[in-house]
Amino acid sequence: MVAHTPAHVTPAHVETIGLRVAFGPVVAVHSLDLTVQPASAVALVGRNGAGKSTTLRVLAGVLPATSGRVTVAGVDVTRDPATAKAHVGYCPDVGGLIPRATPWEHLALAAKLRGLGPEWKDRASELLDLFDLVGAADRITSGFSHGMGRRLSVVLAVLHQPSVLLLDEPFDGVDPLGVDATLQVISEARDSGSAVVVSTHLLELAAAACDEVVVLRAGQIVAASPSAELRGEAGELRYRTLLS
Amino acid sequence: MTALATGAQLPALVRLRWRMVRAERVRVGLLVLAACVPGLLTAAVIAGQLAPRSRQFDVTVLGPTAFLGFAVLSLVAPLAAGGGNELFPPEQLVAYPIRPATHFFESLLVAPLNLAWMSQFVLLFGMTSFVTGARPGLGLALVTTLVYVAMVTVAGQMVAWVLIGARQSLLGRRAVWALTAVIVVVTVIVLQAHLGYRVLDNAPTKPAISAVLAGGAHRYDTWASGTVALAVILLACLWAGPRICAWALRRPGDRTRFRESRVERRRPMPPSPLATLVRVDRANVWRAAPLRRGLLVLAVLPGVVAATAALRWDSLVLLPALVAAGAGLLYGVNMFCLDAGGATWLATLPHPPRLAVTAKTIVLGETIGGSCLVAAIAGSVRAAGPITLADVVAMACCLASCTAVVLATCLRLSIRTPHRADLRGHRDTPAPPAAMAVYSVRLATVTTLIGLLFALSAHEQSLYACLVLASGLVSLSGLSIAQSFRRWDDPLVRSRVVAAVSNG
Repeated sequence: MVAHTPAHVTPAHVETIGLRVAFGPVVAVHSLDLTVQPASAVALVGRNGAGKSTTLRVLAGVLPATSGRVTVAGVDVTRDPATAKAHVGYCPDVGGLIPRATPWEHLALAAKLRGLGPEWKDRASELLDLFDLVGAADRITSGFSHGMGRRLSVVLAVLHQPSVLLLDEPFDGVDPLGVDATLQVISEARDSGSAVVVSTHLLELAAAACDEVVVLRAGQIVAASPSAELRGEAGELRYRTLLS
Repeated sequence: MTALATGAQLPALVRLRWRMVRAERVRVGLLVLAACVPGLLTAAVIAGQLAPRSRQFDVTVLGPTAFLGFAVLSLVAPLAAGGGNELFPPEQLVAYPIRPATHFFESLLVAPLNLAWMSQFVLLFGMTSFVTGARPGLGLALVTTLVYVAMVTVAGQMVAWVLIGARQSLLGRRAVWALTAVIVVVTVIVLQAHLGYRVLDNAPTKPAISAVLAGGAHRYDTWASGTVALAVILLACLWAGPRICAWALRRPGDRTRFRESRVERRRPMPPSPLATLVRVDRANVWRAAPLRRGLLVLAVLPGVVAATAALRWDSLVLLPALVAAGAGLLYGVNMFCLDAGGATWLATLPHPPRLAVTAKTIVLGETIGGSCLVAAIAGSVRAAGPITLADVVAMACCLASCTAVVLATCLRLSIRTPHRADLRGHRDTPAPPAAMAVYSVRLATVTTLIGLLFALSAHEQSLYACLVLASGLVSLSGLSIAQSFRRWDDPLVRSRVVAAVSNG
């Protein structure tokens, strides 16, 4: 549905064709076609239960699709989940942290399982500094505030500089400095050629972080537009109309 | 607007808990279990009546010790559970004005959902029936036993809250440790001076047994005074317990916050992804307050009790069987809950799915096997009689078999029925109370049977039987674990487990 960079120039980094996810009788995502090109950022917005988080979970390889085709960085998520996951950095909507492990232990685990070289430590230190988590790097995460947890989840998602970055509610409960840091890593990821998908309820931040805004309702795309068109009061009014 | 009284809150919580048991077969299973309790008590009474009376005197002499054992269990069980188990984890009720008295009584309500408590209760009923004999006063004796059971259960819960409240400050923790040290030193002195039997003969439970015997012998005055005294203590504990619970809950605890704000030492990167996952899982177990305390109680207490009782070697073989079931119940029955919300993130890391489940299986195996080993070593310090090769082999085979069987069962349960559990607070359990009751019956029944088989083999000095039995059980467990691993390969199964432990 969203394809602003011509498809023949570079293959899409994220592509879903006819994605359907059902939990028994409840259909969370209904025939979703979504394309995100490299070096672009797309925001998924919509009401609670619109299917945003479910879509991201499928893209991250956590949840199998009921039907449809899903590829990230040209890899079929269903057929080769391990390779697909190597390309993806994912920040889940809630939690996302092992309760009694420290941020440094999370980062070390991610580095080991992703096969990163020893330079991961420099990258990790930089990110912890950017997100103001240096002082908490060796404390267990169950003592973290919600905002600290969100910030660490973003750090974990971008550690390996993924070609597909999936952020689910990264701004939820995060202080302004944390929001700035998140916007910065999104911008850097996009500039380095990654495809970024951000799910959020905060339209202003979605518009600030992304080139495109896709509105989901009842598991389907109801609108997609350049983020500039959804800024300001007029954009807000249009968004509310789309939601209802 | 005021909070509802405990009398209204408690039934509401029970109703909600019952409604949350969604699966019909689980509901039926729980009702069958509940229906078994009167049947078991009746069977114990009948068995007590039918048993040959040749050893009636010996059993009567052991009565105060048995009653004392139940009192100790009634204190240790809520203490190990941080004040007693609850119908709901505290964070789920944080938005509701739940009274401390409700917390106290809900813990009391779920106290019987403990296999050790229930089996001891049945045993006391059977013993009462046996020592009373076929007399019309049996009913009165059983009433006394019932009042005693209720009294020590409520008192145990109350004392547990006192200790938990005290442990919320540094001074209190030091006082509790000092008290523990005094108890240990006194116990060692008593054992070294061979005064154990004399102490037990003068156990404070003697008046309770006297009342039981008086009931059976139609000495109504003695029976009434003893039973009324127990009832008065029961009422006093029912009055004081909720107040002490409220005091303990009001205390500004610094323990958990201290743990959560403590800086953990960075260690060199392990050599392999599996070793890294094992390290994270191991830290996850040892940094969880309820697991740390549970492991300590499980590994040390049964061994110390066995050492105190100076069990014979062939009886000591049973020890790993009892400990293995308890170790599995600590978190093994829902092992993926260790990752909680982190399970979703972990699932997005590029690694073979079997790697994560292998790491968890290794750590659980260490937990179960290690607890059994510590208990066995502690118990063997004062084991009575000469040790034979068959005893050693039986003990080792029982330990390996029980560890393997509990591991296989836990892995199967963890994949089939995952639950959300943070294991953060002192009273957190890996599954809801009813599920824990079912799991405890299941694990304890199997391990006790295995333990009895090995004890019998040790008694018969049959090395061959031990080795054959252990080979069979370990092989079967291995097959079960392999089957669970194959189930885990299914992405739908994994996503269901991840969703359950992350989001509930």
